[in-house]
Amino acid sequence: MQYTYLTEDIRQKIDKYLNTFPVKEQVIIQALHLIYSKYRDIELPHMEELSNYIQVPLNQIEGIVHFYDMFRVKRNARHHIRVCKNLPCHIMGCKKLLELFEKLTNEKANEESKHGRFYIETVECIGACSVAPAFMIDDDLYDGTKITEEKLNEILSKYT
Amino acid sequence: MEKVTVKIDGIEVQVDKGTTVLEAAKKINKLIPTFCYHEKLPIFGGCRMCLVYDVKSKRSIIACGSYVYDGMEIETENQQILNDRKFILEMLFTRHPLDCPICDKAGECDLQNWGTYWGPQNNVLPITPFEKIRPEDDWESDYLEYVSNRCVLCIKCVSVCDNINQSHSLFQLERGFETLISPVTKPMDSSSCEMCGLCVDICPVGAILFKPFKYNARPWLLNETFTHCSLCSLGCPVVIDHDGKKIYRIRSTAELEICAKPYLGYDAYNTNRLKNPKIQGKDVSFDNALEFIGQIISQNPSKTALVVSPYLSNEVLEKINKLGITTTSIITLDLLPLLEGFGDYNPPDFEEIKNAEHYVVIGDDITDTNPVITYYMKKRVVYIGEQLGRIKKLYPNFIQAEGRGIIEKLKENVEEGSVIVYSSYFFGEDAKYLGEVLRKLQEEKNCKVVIVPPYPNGFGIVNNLKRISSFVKTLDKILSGEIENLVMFGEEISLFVEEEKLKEIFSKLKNKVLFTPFDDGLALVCDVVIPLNTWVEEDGNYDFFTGQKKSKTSIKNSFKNTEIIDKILKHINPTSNLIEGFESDCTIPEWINRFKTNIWDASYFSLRSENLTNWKIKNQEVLNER
Repeated sequence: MQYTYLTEDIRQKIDKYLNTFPVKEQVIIQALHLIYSKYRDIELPHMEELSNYIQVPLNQIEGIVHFYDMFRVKRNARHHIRVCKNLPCHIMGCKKLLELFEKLTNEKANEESKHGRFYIETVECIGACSVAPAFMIDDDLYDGTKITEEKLNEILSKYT
Repeated sequence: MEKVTVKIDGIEVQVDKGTTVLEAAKKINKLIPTFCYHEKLPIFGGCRMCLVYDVKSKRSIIACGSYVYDGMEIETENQQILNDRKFILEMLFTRHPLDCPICDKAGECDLQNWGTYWGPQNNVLPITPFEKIRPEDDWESDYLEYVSNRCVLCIKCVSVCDNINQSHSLFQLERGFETLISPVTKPMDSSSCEMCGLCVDICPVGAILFKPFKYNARPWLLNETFTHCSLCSLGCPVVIDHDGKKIYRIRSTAELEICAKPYLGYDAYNTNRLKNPKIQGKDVSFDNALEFIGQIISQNPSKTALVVSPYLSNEVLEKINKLGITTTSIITLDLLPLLEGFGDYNPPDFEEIKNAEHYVVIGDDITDTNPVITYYMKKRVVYIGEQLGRIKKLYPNFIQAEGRGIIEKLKENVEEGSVIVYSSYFFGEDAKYLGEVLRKLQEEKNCKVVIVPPYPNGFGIVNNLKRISSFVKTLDKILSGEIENLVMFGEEISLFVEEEKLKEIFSKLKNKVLFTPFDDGLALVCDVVIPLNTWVEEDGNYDFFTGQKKSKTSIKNSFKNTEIIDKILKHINPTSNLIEGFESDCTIPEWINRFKTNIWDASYFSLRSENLTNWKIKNQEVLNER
């Protein structure tokens, strides 16, 4: 089979993982990280190729992608905003932050992006409770403790 | 095995060590409610409905996932347990709309049942069916539908798809409360789904529905007949839901053995059925028509030939023996030469097949011909055939070969004690050779040989008929004018003989008599047409691969197949001077159509099913692409 998305370097790394881990299923998350870092979105063709390559049923891979907030499926947006909704962030006012995001970006949280620039998602704990309400834009973690509308606007302007 | 004594509600019971509390309770007929448990599925323990009280550890434990220990004391109906059950049902009902009046599962719904026994059966905050507690997920299928509101998240559907059917076509979208069940690729009809319908049958609530059945009938108004499916040689136990006139659905039993052939193909039995005998297209009475056939046969018994269908039951086949005319069947093309080469064939025990370590599938794709046998193949699989089709779901080691190359590759790849599964593919000489090779492998390498023809009663024909003439030679005799009358049971002849040749054969015949369940197809070109009962309408024993099993009557017809033949017998004087014995075809002429069984068109029944045909159109191209 021809692989269009699983390029040579990704496949080499997957091979390495396949040799390291005793169970094939353990490779899935590692491989998905590789795909995610390369393509930003994980789409069905990616998963089909991965399933074909490591001989694991497609439904397991799809289940993992949809389970973890760190992966996202195709959302038609260039940038991915993750806002934590767990207890510490909830107490520190993640709802206000979310409203602020919705106002500034003109998008609705957890809905398909309208303008193609931002996709906002509420996620489970991202491990940054000290800076609650924490949020991430793509791979960058931001401090939400003293956030204001101006500051947020400044941050968002970096992502075009 | 080590035995342990458990006390359940004061009754002492001895069970093997390693059984669960639930299984032990089953032995003394204690009802413990469950949602996520099924005896054939791995333990999940997610619904907590089966809580029981362990007296020694003074706490509630789940019955489905806790193993017994010696001296265990269990109480299943004390006040604490009743409170627990009530509480769990209350929680489930907070998110489950009480839309039973418009729900198809009402009447056979576990939540409804447990609710009436142990729960309050009401919503704390009422939810209407139109309120969406979580987003809908459209499966985009013509056959299966998912209603997310009703789902109780027992995940049995995903489990059954992964562990029984093994086609892995469902997964959990999102997580926690928002979990939805979704097919891997949409639309579902063109995904890897096999349409076995197990997810519908196993769903404890009305979350997954079978669309053709939806809004058509209430389960408590239907009669259910427990029978054995006679569409392939496995004879799986199924239930037919009918109202005496029409079949509404065919579903699986707790054995969870069903495939798309009966599940979707049930509609073939409802449409275009032949009700009255016809002579030259005109309705006549049974007596007249059968007398006419009697005359044809008795005038010239030596110039009459009979083609029997492997879809007939043993009782009918036994009676056909008495007619004393040349009898042939399509099994002389493939099954008979195979058995001739093999010698005495005794099917292996089904338990042995389930517990085998290595499977070799040869010839046609077994997921198309006999899907249910793949539900038990959970170890290494080697597939030797032309093309990797649906069997891909088992991740087999695929070896491509054609014709006799398959047999050569089989010899190389077989291991000590492996199970060789063969359904169809080889004809004539090749089949005989395969039989010889299989015999050798069985004796030398201790292999278990599984021969499962795609038709139900191939073994029945061999066991019950005393003489079978060669199919090709019989047709040749028609062409040379030696045989003038042909009596056909079923329509296999139209599948196995090329159309042009069939026209030529038919033009040479003086009388064409057809026994068929259907009003179309060959019935339009034959002189005398007599209705026939199928396996759903008449009791009959079939020699399946797993032994002789009985199909029971679900819909009663005014006539019986056995009575029809009895009546013909009255009109003829059976003077059998034919030699008993079997004659198989060795050389297969070009005009024999090497009919390849697919899950959509396995027989002349499946070809008539609207559901299966629709699904075929959607599914076929996608399968070829992958």
